[in-house]
Amino acid sequence: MEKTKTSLGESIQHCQYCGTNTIGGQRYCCAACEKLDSDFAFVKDHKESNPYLYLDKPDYAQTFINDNQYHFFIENLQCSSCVHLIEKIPDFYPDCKLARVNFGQNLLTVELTDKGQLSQVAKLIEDLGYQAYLIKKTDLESKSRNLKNRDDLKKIAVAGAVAGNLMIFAFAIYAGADGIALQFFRWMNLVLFLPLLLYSAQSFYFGAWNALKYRVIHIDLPIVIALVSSFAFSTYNLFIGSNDFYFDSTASFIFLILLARYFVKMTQQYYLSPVRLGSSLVNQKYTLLDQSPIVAEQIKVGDVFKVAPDQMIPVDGVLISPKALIDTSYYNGESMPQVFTEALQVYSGFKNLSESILIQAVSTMQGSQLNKLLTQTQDHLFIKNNYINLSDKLAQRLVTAVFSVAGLYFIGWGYFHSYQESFNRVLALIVVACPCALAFGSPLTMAIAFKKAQNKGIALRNANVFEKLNHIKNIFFDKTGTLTQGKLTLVQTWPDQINEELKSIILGLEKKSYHPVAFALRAAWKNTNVSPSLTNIKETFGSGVRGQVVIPTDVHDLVDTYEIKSLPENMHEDDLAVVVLKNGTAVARLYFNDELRQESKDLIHKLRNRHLNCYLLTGDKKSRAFQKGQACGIQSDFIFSELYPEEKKEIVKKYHSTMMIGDGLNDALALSASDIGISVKGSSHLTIDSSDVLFLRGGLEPLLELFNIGLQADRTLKRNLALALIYNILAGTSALFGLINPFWAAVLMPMSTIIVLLSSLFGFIDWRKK
Amino acid sequence: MSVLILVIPMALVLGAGFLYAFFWATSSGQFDDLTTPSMRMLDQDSKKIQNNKENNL
Repeated sequence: MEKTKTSLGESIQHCQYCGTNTIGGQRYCCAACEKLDSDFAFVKDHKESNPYLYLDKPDYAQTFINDNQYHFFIENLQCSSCVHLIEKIPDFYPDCKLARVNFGQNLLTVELTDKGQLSQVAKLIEDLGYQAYLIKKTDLESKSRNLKNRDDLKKIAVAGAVAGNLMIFAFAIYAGADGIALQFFRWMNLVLFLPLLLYSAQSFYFGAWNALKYRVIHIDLPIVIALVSSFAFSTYNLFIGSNDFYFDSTASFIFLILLARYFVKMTQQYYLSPVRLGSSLVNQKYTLLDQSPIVAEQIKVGDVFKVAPDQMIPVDGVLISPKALIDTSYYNGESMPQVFTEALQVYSGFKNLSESILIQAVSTMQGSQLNKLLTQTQDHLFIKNNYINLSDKLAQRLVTAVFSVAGLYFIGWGYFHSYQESFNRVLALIVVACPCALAFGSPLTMAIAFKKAQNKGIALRNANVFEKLNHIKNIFFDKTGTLTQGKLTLVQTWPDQINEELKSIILGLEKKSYHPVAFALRAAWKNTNVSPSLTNIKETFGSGVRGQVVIPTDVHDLVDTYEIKSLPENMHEDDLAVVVLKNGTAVARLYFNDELRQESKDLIHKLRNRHLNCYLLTGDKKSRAFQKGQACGIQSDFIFSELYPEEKKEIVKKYHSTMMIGDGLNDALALSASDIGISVKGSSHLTIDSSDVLFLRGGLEPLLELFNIGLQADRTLKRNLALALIYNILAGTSALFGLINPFWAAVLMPMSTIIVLLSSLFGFIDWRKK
Repeated sequence: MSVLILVIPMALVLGAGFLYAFFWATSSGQFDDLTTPSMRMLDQDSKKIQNNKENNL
């Protein structure tokens, strides 16, 4: 198997089936590849004990069916093999007519025959190893998005066709066509221009109208002014018999701007999920006391329901079971699981780590703490999108400048000479000085920057990120899962070597546990067999687990009692330590740590060298926060600990020019309150929804690359704007001196476009290759 | 020059034809998803299709 090394020395292997990189030395990147590689034969009867049977009820079908199709959001699509495997569903279940995956949107579209049952398909997807959620028809945005995109494409096609043909006719006129041919070409100019004016340019009219209506600054306004005045001027000339037309140059710039905008939109849409906020939790299934299944959304106040191990609690409630081990890290960043006892209040977003527990709901999903958090987050996002970017600001000034100059010139020059000639020149000025390079250059720069970021594993949801990036002064990091790996690792043992037999007994004790310690041990001792001989395993909540090994002898059976207990925090310096007791005597001690990511320290160092302030915000205990924060070089007065989500937000809001990086639900508010919110790989859905940037590659390494691309984007953008301004001033002045005629406009305008295009492409070349 | 009377309408009709073809392709959703089809292409034929092929032989 081929092995490569990343810059950090972490070993990467390639999936044996599809060749995608796998991390951690696994042979396959996903279950699909493993199944496809092993030549599976996979015919199953799904009729009995199907947990999805409730989907076949007619009222469910009504909520989910959309033009005879059902849509699933598939969470863990990895590579092309996943597409192949899922699209084979009709082979396994013939009553499914069609299964189509859209990889970019994580979307599966399913069509059934008349007797096809949705429950069977849902079960099959689960059996194939995927997490799938049915999407309600009201939540499905991809349909309307697709229709909008198709419409845009058609408008671009028309604009392109018009621009191309117009250029041919214009060229014929410049080349000196005469007679009937000339008349034909002249009028064809107008005929061809109309579809562009009336159809392709529609989006500009809306933009300009909104700009006027809401009195906001938008670049569409000067574009429309240039478009309409060039049309009026050219048509007027057509009727009076002059050959001064701006049809061709206007058409080509409209085409180019539409194209550039479409590219930006496509790159942005690629990683946006088609599902609205919170949908994934809505469809989670729970069991009521009478064993009937219920989906999270339908849980009413007073309902008692069961939460399976490793499942999220969907509503606020009261614990009915005597005890439960609960992971609250999503909610408040506390890295260690907490023990909850009967009658204590639990909140939505908590995750159950113990055996199934019973919860009585005290709120619905709508009224839960989680939902409150979500609503607040959305409010912030709304405010955030009111950012005005540089090109819009410049466009506004340009319009003011051009029109004041044009007005003064028209009156001044017209008074002394002729108003007719003055009018011609002023119109030439307005047409030539249109912010073509401005309107085209900025989206193009953004599109290239987006594309480049995506290739490096950074998905952006907001076009303004690059412009804001260069004003960032304060960077806030979450601790658990962001600076650290977010899971415990076995760092030290006593004695240094633990024999295989004891290891296998310890693993046997932790066999069914969802406690982080159990995961850490399973990861550390991968090659050890789990001892099957343990009996009477009992989890003692919060403190550990106990079990017995029976050794049969001739006389009577010997019983060894093993117990794993956690050590008090003052006895060690790690995040967590346990002692293993055999019949009451300590035989081993194990120390665990939530290790810093390899790159964290280096990253903070580099950021501080760039004069950026790095802060640590965590809901975790003060001691742990300081230990981790100082280990990666964050000043101690920049470390804030034991914070609730709202407190995190308050701190972020106190500063300006902020960037927040996090992964948990508890970061969502702070992420949306910061100027740029970034969620790292493995973040929860809701966190991703509240941030502007998402790292698709593990770790924090993409952050530096984001800064680099941001720098390039900023430089390119400013250079483009400078070029556009120089062009506008030169062309505008020439127009006023009467030097610009349509021929020169037809030459100058594409030239300015080409210069901007080259400048944009040039700006993103990495000159220093590794 | 008289050939222009024939050639230019032809060029325009040709252009309009291509534009129509593009409209049709867009409306039928061929440009909705540009990522997945490239993955789909390399899939081994599913059993269903293989069976069909055998039947057709």
